[in-house]
Amino acid sequence: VIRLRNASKVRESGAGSRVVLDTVSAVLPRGRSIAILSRTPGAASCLFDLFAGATELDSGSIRVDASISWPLGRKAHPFKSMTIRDAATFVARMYGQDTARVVAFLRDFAEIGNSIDKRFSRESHDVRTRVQLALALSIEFDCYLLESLTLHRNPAFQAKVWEALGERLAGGASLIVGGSRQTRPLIKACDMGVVLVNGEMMIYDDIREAVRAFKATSARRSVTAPMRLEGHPA
Amino acid sequence: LKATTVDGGVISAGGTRAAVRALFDPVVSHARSVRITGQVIWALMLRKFRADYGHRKLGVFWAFLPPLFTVAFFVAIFTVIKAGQAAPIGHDPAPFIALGLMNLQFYRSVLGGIAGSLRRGKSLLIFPRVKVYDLYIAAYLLEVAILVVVFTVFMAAFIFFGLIPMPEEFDRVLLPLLISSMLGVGVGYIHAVLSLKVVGWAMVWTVIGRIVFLTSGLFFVADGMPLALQEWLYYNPILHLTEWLRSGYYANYESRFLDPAYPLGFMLAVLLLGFAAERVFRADLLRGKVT
Repeated sequence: VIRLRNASKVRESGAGSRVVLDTVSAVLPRGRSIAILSRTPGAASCLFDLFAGATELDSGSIRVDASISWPLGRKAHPFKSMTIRDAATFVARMYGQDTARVVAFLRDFAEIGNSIDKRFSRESHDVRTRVQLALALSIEFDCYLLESLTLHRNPAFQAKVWEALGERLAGGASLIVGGSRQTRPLIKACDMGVVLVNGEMMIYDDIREAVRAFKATSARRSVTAPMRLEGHPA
Repeated sequence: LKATTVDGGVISAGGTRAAVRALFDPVVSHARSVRITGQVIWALMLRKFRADYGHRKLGVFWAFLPPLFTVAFFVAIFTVIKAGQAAPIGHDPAPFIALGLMNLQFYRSVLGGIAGSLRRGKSLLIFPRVKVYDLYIAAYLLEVAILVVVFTVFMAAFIFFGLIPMPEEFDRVLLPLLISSMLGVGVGYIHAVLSLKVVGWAMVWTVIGRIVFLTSGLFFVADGMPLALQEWLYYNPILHLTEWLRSGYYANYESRFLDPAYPLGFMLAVLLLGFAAERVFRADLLRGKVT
């Protein structure tokens, strides 16, 4: 369960500041797979940062009562110059898991061969993503945060990840999915939806309704709200 | 099995179990969160230890080298200048300087660890289990753990070679070092905030660092200074702590300069101010943007 109370957050980036949450009070229930639908750039990522505790709300409070994963499918990784083995050891220790088991799972699942003792930052994007996904899957979370439904460019590995995620979902885990370019796959993967428009959060119990509402708001938005130009990089 | 609820009603055995569980749930979940925090801090400490020392050939031996060379360097200077004259107290300048340096180092290392822990560790906050305070606590514990090991090895060596006696009152050793390290926490927070908020703070900070280094009693005894100077030196809490620590090892040395309440009060004030500053400007510290 994730509870927001009077939560406000303005996301600041190189392209200016954007309102993500404007005094939102809401409850995201446990055990449901939720799609986050928003055309505000970076809104879903910002929400994930808030869930994970990587950024703070400007005001209000947030409470996460579930074991959630870190956001998966990001380019940025937190391991910097650690070796892949050290990263696995760190994650295992943090979650009180047997380090040998996590390293073995990582080796087996990510298929990275001898790269295990190489520095994370020196590895290709492909390998880094494989490792991150494998590490997240090595821990049994209640809820997995996915930046998008496409987690890896390699179709074979993508299928492998989704097979593993499917097993977790069958075991009672749930998903929160950001990214809203294609709504059709979201309808398949999620059973409810959250629409974020101009800092307002609307929660729909049915994903189809959420997608419909999202499409409507975005269409209206394109008429009423012009492109933001303030602080746009020249 | 029956139990009476607060409002006088009677609930069945199943209800009792539920009631007991409800009673102990907060305790259990609290114990769980304490365990998780422990796991996270331990993982962060080991990660940072490996990042700092793991990829060097000599490993943790690097922690011993800077104090070793610093002490050796100043012992050499003492020996040359004073032409074999003994240290201000005790017979040998090495433990005299080492005690002053170690005390200062408890302050400086912790300060550096705290001031940099958010900048270096903020990418780890993406793990939902890692909280901001875990980063600070892990940084503090790691710095202190390494310093305790280094300090113990140095002092054991000095005692083994008969340069100083075994301390009789351990509180005279532990208290000043604890206060030095906590002073490092408070100043670390304040330094982190000021370097973000005040233009040109780096320059001011360099000057402060030099003043602290020269006035913290690495090379002198406060009582041996002219009285006019002592009045100024009084305001450096670290000098008090140096005198305090040395009084733990030199049995016949009782500092007249030392006022234990001053460094203690100074530390508490700085700690309070530091915590407040960190909390108020945490969002800026996380963003890491200089304003």
